Amino acid sequence: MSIVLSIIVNIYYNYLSTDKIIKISLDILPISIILMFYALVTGLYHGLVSSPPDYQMGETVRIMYVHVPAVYGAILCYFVLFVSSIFTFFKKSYLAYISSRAIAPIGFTLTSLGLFAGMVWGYPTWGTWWVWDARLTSFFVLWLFYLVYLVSNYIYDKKNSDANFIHLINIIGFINVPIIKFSVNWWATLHQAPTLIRSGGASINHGMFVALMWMLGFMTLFILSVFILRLNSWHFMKGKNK
Amino acid sequence: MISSGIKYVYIAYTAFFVLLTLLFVISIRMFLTNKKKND
Repeated sequence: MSIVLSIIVNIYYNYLSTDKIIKISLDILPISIILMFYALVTGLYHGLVSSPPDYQMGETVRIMYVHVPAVYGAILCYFVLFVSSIFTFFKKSYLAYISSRAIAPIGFTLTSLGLFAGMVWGYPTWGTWWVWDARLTSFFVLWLFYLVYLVSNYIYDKKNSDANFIHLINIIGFINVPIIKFSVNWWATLHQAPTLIRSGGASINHGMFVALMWMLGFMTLFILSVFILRLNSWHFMKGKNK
Repeated sequence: MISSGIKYVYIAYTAFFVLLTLLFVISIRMFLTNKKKND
């Protein structure tokens, strides 16, 4: 992991400038949007038509194809926020600053969606919308970290000042990510144990697995497309003062 | 409590597409507005 990060940093400082990255991102954007719609249509076909219902949960299992991508997206966005917060806080990097501003609303939306879809799936399956078990609570804490960052930005934007310390909160908040992942292993939870990333390989029906992979692909491309749009918007706003 | 519960599937998918569409449209508008201002 550290080797990959050091390669990225090396490439960034030696071969790429912010303007080059912005230009490359705009070249990628149309391809990303086209592939995103292709993955969405294919994922929906597999998720709603070709994949089977669950033998216990029936049709409600299809909520998995929106709940899991939303949760995966929320954590992916937090990883981007974490890395960009490190470079903003310690290096005062302009690109990292606009990246963190661009990614946070996407992560917040996906966290809210992950929580909501999970509740809607939980009610017919568990008989309750919400329980304060380890997985649900730790994911709710992730939602709070996003909220604190967005509200702080809103307040400091009104004052026309930059609050660099908020990025330190994002860095500390990353401790929560492994807690979310391993909460179902460490504590007894109502939420089910891991299905995809577990020792012994994935434990899921092939049709469901294919649908889930397409929807995860769609989510990755959606985040990339919206991130590029927002990154460029922030560059247009802040670029002249960088 | 376990049932086929198709209405829960509708609720979850509606929320998913409404929120993602909003985010996508707002981001495109933000991009175009700022691009116009920048030009």
